[in-house]
This record gives sequence, C-alpha cells and structure tokens, in this order.
Amino acid sequence: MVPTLMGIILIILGLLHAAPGDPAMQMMGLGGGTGEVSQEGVDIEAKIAKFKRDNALDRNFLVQYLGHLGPFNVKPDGHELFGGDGRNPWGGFLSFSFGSELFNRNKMIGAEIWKRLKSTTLPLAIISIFLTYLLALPIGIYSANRQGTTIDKVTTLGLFILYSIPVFWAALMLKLIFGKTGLSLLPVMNLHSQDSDQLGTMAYFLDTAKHMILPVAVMTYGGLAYLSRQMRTGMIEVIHQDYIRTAKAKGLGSKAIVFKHALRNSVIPVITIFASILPIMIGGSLIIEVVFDLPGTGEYMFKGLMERDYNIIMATMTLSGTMTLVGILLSDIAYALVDPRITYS
Amino acid sequence: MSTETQSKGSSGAEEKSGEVLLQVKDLRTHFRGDEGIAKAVDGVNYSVLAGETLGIVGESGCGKSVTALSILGLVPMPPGFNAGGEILFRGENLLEVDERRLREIRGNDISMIFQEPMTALNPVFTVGNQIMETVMLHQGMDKMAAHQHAIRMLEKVGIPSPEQRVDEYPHQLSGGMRQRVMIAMAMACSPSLLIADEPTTALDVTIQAQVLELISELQKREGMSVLLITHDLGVVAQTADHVAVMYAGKVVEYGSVETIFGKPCHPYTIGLFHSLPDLAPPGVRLSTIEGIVPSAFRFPSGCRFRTRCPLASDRCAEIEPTLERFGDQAGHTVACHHLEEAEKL
Repeated sequence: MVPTLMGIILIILGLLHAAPGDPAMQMMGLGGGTGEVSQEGVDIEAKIAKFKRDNALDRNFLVQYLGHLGPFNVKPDGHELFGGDGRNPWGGFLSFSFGSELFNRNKMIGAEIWKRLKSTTLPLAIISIFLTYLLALPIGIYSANRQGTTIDKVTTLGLFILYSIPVFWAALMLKLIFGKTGLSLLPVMNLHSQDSDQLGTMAYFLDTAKHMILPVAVMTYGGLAYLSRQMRTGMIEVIHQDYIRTAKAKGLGSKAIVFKHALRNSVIPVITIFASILPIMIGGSLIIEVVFDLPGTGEYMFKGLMERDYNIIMATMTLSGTMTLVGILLSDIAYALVDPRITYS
Repeated sequence: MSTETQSKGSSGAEEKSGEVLLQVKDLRTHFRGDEGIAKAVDGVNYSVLAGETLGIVGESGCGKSVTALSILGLVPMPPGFNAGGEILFRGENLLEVDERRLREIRGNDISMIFQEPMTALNPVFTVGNQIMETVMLHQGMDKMAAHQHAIRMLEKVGIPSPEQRVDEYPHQLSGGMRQRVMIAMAMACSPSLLIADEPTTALDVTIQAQVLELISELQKREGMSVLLITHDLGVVAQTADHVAVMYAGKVVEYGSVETIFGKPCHPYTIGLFHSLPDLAPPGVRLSTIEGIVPSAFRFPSGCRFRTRCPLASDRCAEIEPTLERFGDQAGHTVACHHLEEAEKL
C-alpha cells in the first residue's frame, strides 16, 4: 500500500506542476500565471521570491516531492540535510503532517480536514452509503425475481434514467424546484440555518435533517441506480445456477432460496463497488458540496484548486487516494468473508 | 426414539415391495419457444414399483430429464408448461397439488440428485449446512441434532473422517466426494423415491462404479425406489430392475432388464444395442443409428422413429404406434408396427 501511495503522490504533484498557474502569482493577485509584472516591478519580484523560498517552492521537483511525502521538512525552518535551520526538521505525509495552508500559515490543513470531515462529509457519506445499499439491494433482488414482468421493465427504465442524469444538473434542478425559486420547501444552502445555535436539540436536529435531504438525495441516486442494476444482474445469473435447483428440490421455499442460497452468491460483485464508492464519499463529493455550499472536504479541495494552494490540493487528493486503497482492502476482506473459495495467506 | 425413524407425516403407509409407488400417466410437458411449441415430453407412461429401480434410457434430448424434473415440479415455467397427464405418487396427483404440498414432498418423500456435482452444491455453504437444511426443514430437527445427523449421513455414503468433512466447503472435495455429498443430502430424510438424473455422467469411470454401487446398497438397506435416468446402457444393466427406453418424448419400449437386454424388440432399442462398442469385434466400424433426433418443435407424423428406422412403412407415417404387450415376458410393452420384422434385425 505504501509504495502505491508514494506513486499516487508523485503523480498528483507532477500534474500540479504541469498545470498552468502558480501559487505565488496567485497570491500577488496576478492570476493564472501570465508572468506579467506590473507597476511596482522589483518590489513584487522580491515578494514572490520570498514567498517561494518560505514555502520551498523554489526547490527542484524531487525535493518538493520529498517535502510532501516526508519525513523531512524541506522549508527554510526544516531539516539541516536540506539546508534548513533545523527548528522544525520533520514534515510530510510520512510524519502524518499535511502542513499549513500556503496563504494562511496559522491554519493547519490536517485539523481543518478533520473538522470538515466530522461536521459535514462523514455524516453525509455514511447516510448516503447506507441509503444506497439499503435501497439498491432490495430493488435489485425484487426486479431480478420478477425478470421480464412490467414492474421489472418500469424499474429498469426508471433506474436507467436516474443513472443517466448528471449530478451537477440534478443538484441545480433540485435547488430550483425545492428552493425559494420554486416550491420553497427545503433549504438549499449549508447544513444549518444561520440561527441554528439558538435552537433546542430536537429543533437543531430537525433543521440539520432538512438541510441534508437534497444533498443526500443527489449523492445517493446515481449509486443507487448503478448498484441495483448490478444486484439485479448478479441475482439473475445466480438464480439460474444448478445449486438453486438443488435447493428447490430439497423443498425449500422461495424466501429461503432467494435470501439464503442466492443472496450470498450474488452480493459478491456488489461488494467490489464499495471500493469505488468509499473514496468518493470520504474525499467529499466536490460538485455536490460546492453546489449546496457545504463546508466539507470536497469544497476544501475546490478552494485549494481555485487558490492554487498546493498544500490543500495535495492533502485532499492524497486523502482520496488513501481512501481508494482502503476501499479496495475492505472489499478484499469482505470477499473472503462471503466466499469461502477465496483465502489470503 | 431416534430422529431418523421419525414418521413421514403426510402418508405413513409404507408400500410393500412390488406395489406401484409412482405412476406417470400420459405426461405431457411442453415448452414455448421462438419456433413454436417444443413437445419435450409428449405422452409418457411408466410406473415405479416400491423398492425397485426403474432405468430410463435414451439419447440426449429425448425428454428423460424433463420427465424427472416434472415429477418434482422443477421444470422452469415459463417457458415450460404442463399440457396434460397425471403423476400419481401414492395416489396423489403431483401435477394438481399446490406449491406448499409439493415443497413438503420435495426432499422428504421424493428427492433428487443431479448430473453435475460441481455445480449442484452451493459453493458458499459447508456441505454439513446443506445437508442439515433438509432435515431441519422437513423433520424439525434442531441444529445440534441435524449436525449429528449430517455426520451420520456422510458416514453412510462412505466419506472418510465425516466429523471433519462436515464443516468443509464443496470446493474442498473431489467430484466423486461431492456426488456422495449430494446423495447424503438426498437421503437425509430417508425418501421413498430417489430420482437420479445422470448421477455418474460427470464422474471418472472408476468413481462411477463406486457411486452406482453406493446407490444400490443404500436402496437395499433403506428399501426405497430409484428412478435412474441415464444414456449409459451399462449403468442400466448394472443397477435397474425395469427399463423404459425413451425416444423423442415418448416411451418406445418397457420391460424388465433381462427382457430388454436379452431380447430387445423395438428397432430403436435394437439400434442402441448395436451401437455399443463392446459388442463389435475389433477393427470393425461401430454401427450407428442413421440420421439425427428430430427437433422437438417438428416431430414427424405417426411413429417418431420412422425417419431413422430401417423398417419404416407408409403405415408408420399414418398411425402412431402405441405401447402394446408383446412376447411371452410379463410386462414387456413395445410401440412398433413391425415387430415381426424387427426380430430379424
């Protein structure tokens, strides 16, 4: 896992350097890296140079990579090995440090991510994953066992439509329909009302729940459509297997056949999907958080991208990468639990 | 009282040897297909006597498996449907009883083993679990008793160290072992009829003999009847008391194993025996039955074998021969217009 992660970090940093724009220019209000130097001339040049030096942005690519990866701090206050004064020798992901924001030296990125995860991204992700599986599995099982009937065809069509709708469009449409512009039924921004501090526990809870409805709906529908299709396909494949006929020949009822003999075999493909859902959920759904103005990790990544804050981008992207790896690991473990033919030694 | 000798609930009457246990009367199981209706089983008659083995022989696609599946209501419907006939088990028409009653009979009074032991067992449950399921369902045994019973059953079918094997998964067993497990599962409730659908086809020759021997031995010990479906005349000779030869959805000849093997009368049966390798001297090409089995969508008029029969006449095309008593052997019936000429084949 660690070598894979090192590779991931290398690729992200490489892409960042290849992309136009640069944090120093951004800070000076010069935007997308046009290189044009205005009125104050030399003064600004000096400021930029100092900013680059302070954040080790003037070092070569490999040293910068090492700075992000750790365990050394390569900034001027870092390890002597890299010409620092040794006040603060360690840093980078290997020493579990994401550093501080480029433009706000007092704001630690690790703490900020944790705060955003706890308050926004994790609750949304857990509810969405739970809802996705809770709804998708029964829908898939139900339509598989009624393969070819009208109700199966209607469900299939409905799920295909859902699956085809792009997230950003769905989010905007829901805002238009349910927000002040339309039915005025639900709040469309943030997770809490502005006066939520003054509310009682129950009212606060209700307020949050109301704010969550739209984001959760948008986060859930796509996965729901995809997952229930997978479940249906898996189930249909399994109910034509010989061992299902054996189970019938034993005299088992259709419930026992579907929920004992067929289910365990057909969830195997569905488990794999968990690996791809987890990173999206934890890494934050960038589009959804931005559209609904939710202070989560996805929105943080967006902020980093807009400001060319390499540190924020590196931290949030690495988190997503790690979550992908964790997701794959979890699916592998789940595989072995469900299917006795798979063992890891 | 040991759980093994628990009463059968429904019909406690144990048949005396030689009485009719199962009678199939004019059974017609058809399938709807793109080309019309396939008459896979079209007017089949036979009966299984208590304590005996009836062998059903025929080429692939002659409808022998479908008759067996029809008995337990395991023919997938749709596309299959019942177009007439009766299946009387202890006087009860299995085609008319409801699904609940059928489930009580399956695995308890009549059980079934299949051709492919590799796929007929559920890969994600232990063999013990799959055996226990049957007795817990039909005899209301608790888990502990069922587990003990599963071990006894595995011992009965000759699986070494059953205490250990009972907790293993199907993929940990060889093909022969798995077929033994299938037999143990089918025998778990001491059924009065065991339907064995090509039980040895997928096994090595040496294992085949062992499995057949095991079935015969269990049959003698338990006094049950066996309906043995096979395309292998050798298997029939070794185990059956009576033989029904099927061709194109119909029984064309029925008699005791001695009669059929000693003096086959139907041109098709005679053709089958002529195409056996061990009857031909070395160096001589095996004789074959000319032509191919007609499609179940378009059977020829009159006698269905006439397109391949050396004796076919105009009469064969006009009038379909019915099973008539023939010769001096009791219970020997043949469906052919040209029996006198057939004797000379």
